[in-house]
Amino acid sequence: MGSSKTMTAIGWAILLFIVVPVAVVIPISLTDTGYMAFPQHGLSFQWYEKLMRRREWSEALWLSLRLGLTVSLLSTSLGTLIALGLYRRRHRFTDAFSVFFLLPLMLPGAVLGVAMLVFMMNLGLIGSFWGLVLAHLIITVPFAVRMVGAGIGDLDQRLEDAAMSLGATPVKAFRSVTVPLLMPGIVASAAFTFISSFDELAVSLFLSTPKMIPLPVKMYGYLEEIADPLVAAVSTIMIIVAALIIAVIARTVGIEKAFGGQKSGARH
Amino acid sequence: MILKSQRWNSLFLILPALIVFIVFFLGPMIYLTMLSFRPTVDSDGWTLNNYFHMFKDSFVLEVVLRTVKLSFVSAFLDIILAYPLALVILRSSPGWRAFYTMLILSPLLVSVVVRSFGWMILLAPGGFINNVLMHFGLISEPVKLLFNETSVVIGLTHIHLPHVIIALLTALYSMDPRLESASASLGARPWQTFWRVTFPLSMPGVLSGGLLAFSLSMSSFVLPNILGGPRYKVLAALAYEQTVGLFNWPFGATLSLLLLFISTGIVAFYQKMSKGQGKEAMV
Repeated sequence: MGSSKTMTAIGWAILLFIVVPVAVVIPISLTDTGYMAFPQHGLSFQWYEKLMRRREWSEALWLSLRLGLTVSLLSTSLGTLIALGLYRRRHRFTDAFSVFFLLPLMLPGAVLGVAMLVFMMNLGLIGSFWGLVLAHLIITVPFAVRMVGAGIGDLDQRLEDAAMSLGATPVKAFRSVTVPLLMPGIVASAAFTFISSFDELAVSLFLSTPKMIPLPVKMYGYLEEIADPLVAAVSTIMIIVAALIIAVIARTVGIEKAFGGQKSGARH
Repeated sequence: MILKSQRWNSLFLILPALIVFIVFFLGPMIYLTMLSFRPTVDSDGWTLNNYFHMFKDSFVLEVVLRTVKLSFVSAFLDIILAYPLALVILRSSPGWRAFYTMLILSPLLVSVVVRSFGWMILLAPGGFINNVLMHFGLISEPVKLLFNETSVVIGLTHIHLPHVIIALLTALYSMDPRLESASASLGARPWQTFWRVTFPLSMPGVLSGGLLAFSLSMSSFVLPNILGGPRYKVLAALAYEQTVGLFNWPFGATLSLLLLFISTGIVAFYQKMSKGQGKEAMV
């Protein structure tokens, strides 16, 4: 269709359409004016300074970091156990449980949000850190299962058997053969579940209270009232965090494999 | 051959997650369904009133139709935009493929609130697009691009485009490239090859990508709220408003079940129709 040069040009235009709306917040965050000018005049870090001085923002950032790390640790642990339990030796429950643990991925965030809100309100978990952790676990465990599970799919069970036939105890065979082979999937899962929790908005919006506001919820509330370069500064910080995570995933399982399932990361 | 004890060991490993999922995933979903049949939060009675109310309410109907329309239009645009880029990627070298894929997928790891804000910057009255248009003398004063249906469609198309590209690429990668060369060597012009070989073979990707975009757009409410402004409501936002804003939990539950039915039901229907093939795409 057409010359390949035209095609490439069209392709690049579409690539710009994908990337520019994200990248545009970076120059805005460095503006020296009091409003969102683009293209802008001079450079300044004034909005980052303002951000540092506002306690409510640093509290939100701190909460999101704690939440992300807790969720990442728990989610990857649970996901690894599930992956080992279901895929190391396939059995007749494998398929049914796989579907069950991946189910939350298929539900709209607003549906999970309403359900979690009404349920957790009855348990008195609304406004608590652990309520948010549990909600994020339901959303992120499917990713963890998939990322660690993908590693087990490649893993040759005979390697562990060979180690044992050479005299290793089952525990030793597991530790020195299986674990190192699973490591890339585990690291990728830890990174991916962290960023999923760190970015999460749809469900958190239902569960947050004035004393428990994660960063994306804080940004959302702020945007509803004012949109100034301060949000651009927060956005830039979030992009930097995402870039670090992308680097980790690219070096472990590869970014493409991380998104092998298409519904990943789309919950809003 | 699996020994029985090994199977039980395996199930023992998934037990912690199973308990968490039964209590905090199945529990809330069952409670949500029960709530939709309750007259009020505290009562024990059963009623279908929430459902009658929902189907009779003309505002709900208007919002549902609007959400379906938005999702359909943005899914359609996604396919149109995804196709050329997917073809470029398909025909590039492995190194470029990796680069393109990285660039396309990276925005998915950035929070949707950041991406919506990016569009606010571009579409605002003093924003980039208005400035460019004015600079080239195409318009004399800023046009209203933000807080209307257009901005919501643009935003939805943007955030779901990566998913559609990947769906298309999955279909295109599985196509035998020799079919295209065979068509060309038999004298077909490039556009004939495209319309009669490449495009028909990529139909499963077009369908699954389009359905995915539709279902994701149906369920989103953060981006429509930010880019549509406070008065522009989509179905998920209505469920949010009823639950969080008005504390009408039973009606909020009913609305979210309707949302679940439309967004997931359509995809499930498609999967049933094209057995097996769609299963992979969803998981």
